[in-house]
Amino acid sequence: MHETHADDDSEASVEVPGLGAPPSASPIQLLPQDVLHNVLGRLTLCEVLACRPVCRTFRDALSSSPFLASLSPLRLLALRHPRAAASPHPSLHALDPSFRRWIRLPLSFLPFPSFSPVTASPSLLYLWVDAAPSSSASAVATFAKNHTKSLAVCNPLTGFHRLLPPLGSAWSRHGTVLAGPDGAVLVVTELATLSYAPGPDRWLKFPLSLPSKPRSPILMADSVFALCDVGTPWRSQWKLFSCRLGDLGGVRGWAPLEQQEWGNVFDIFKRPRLLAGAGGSRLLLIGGLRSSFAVDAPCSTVLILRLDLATMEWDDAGRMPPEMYRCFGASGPSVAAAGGNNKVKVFGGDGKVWFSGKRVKGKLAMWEEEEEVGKSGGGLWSWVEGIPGYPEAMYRGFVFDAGFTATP
Amino acid sequence: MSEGTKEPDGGEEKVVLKTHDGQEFTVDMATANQSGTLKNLLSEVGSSSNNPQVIPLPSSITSRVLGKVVEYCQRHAAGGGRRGGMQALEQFDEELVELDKDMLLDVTYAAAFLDVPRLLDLTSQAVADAIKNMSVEEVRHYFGVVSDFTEEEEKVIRSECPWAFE
Repeated sequence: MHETHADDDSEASVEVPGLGAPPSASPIQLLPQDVLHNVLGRLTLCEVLACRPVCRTFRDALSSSPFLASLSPLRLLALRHPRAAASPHPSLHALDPSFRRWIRLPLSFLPFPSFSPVTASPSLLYLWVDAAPSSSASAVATFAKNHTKSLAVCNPLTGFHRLLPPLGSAWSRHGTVLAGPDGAVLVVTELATLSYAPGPDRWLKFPLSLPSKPRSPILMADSVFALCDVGTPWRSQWKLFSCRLGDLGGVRGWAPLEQQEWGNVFDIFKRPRLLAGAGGSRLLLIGGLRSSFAVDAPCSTVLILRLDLATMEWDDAGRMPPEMYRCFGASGPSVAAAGGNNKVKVFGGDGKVWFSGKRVKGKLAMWEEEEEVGKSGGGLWSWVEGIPGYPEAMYRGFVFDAGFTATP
Repeated sequence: MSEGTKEPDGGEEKVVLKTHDGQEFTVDMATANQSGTLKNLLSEVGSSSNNPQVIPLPSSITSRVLGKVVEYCQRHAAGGGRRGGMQALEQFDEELVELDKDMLLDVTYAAAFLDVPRLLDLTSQAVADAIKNMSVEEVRHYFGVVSDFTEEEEKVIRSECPWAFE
């Protein structure tokens, strides 16, 4: 290499950054913002937020909305905390399953005297709230005088929230709240489905054309799925129904999902529940595995079957290990007794299933779906310890992808 | 000084990259074309072996930094077909970013300026990997950044998402 000194460098070399930066700026502070985004965008959402206090250059770059919206969300299991609002620092208790740590997302920005988180869609958390009249004169306050309980939506990371329009009747509060894409919300009750879309900003009511009360309804890939008992008062017989969101008020409406080849697949379950599998195209059916077809047969473990909606084929996705199942059982060594109890709550979604029980205090059993279909009895079973809050409580929860991809 | 590769038809086109500190890097077109910025520039002005175009670079790209970028571009212009195939190329990439952090950031800057996307990818990932799981203090120390927040300001920022710092 030869060092020729630039004599009269008239060619305009492009002079760039560093102009506005402090004299002692570090090379990282001299990078153009898009380059800094390219670097820091490779961190997780949590790491990005943790880098905000480094300096103003970082804080500004890491507060840009398009940048934040481009980050992968933080997958959490949110607990339906019975007394979420009662604490002096109201928060959402959630498990970060990838690190197995419990975190608390502050909800103190919510102006409601009490609230209870029920469900979520990406970035958005839905809660039942007591919208007691506040001093701020608004439509919200006026409405709240008549109806004290309402649905609200918020993004716990941005601190924005919004009340949804009143539901109308009191019994709707006992329905299951399902959150769909683009701010759509469903409340599924025994008699009707109430459907909300942010566009028209109102609830539409559709009668349920189902043979019985829908059990364990879930929303997955633009369709609602639910189980119905079509059996006798003496013996349950479960059937799977589904309805596309767009067909709720339509002629097609709810239709059974069934195949001749399935046989009596539902009969092997005691108290089955539905959850969404990973990837949005598979259903999970979870319940106690009956040891025989006798009406009062005890369960031998928890079985998870998986239905591939593309092929309409079931496969055996997982079975709770016996030693784990025993922990959920009644007192004494009798395994049989465990099957009879209904004190196990099953919740989750997107390929993860959690189990809480009266007898497993302060911890949850977790099952994680394995991507490979057809691998029988697969999936990972483990315990998640250290539930925050009230160890004697029976928790339920839902999957919440915390992020900046949507605002209320 | 960097040598050009094969001569496709006699006289090969060359281009001279000149850093602010006066150093010149003569590279062939295939190497120069790895950079989107140079490719655009050269498609307009052209260059030849007898009278190669001299392209001056900003002072923020020192000769040491440009040396790294040129090394990358030459190796990738040759592609995976030579010197041990794709595996060797991957290993070359891996070793190329084993740099001290200031150099890594300078190369990141140069890769962005010269628009060498895959090199930018490599260095950006190396920087991100280095600061993964670091505390705020560790990140500051790593980059040699002095906080320009007051204690109160920093407290407010931390209180926006306390869980991210646990």
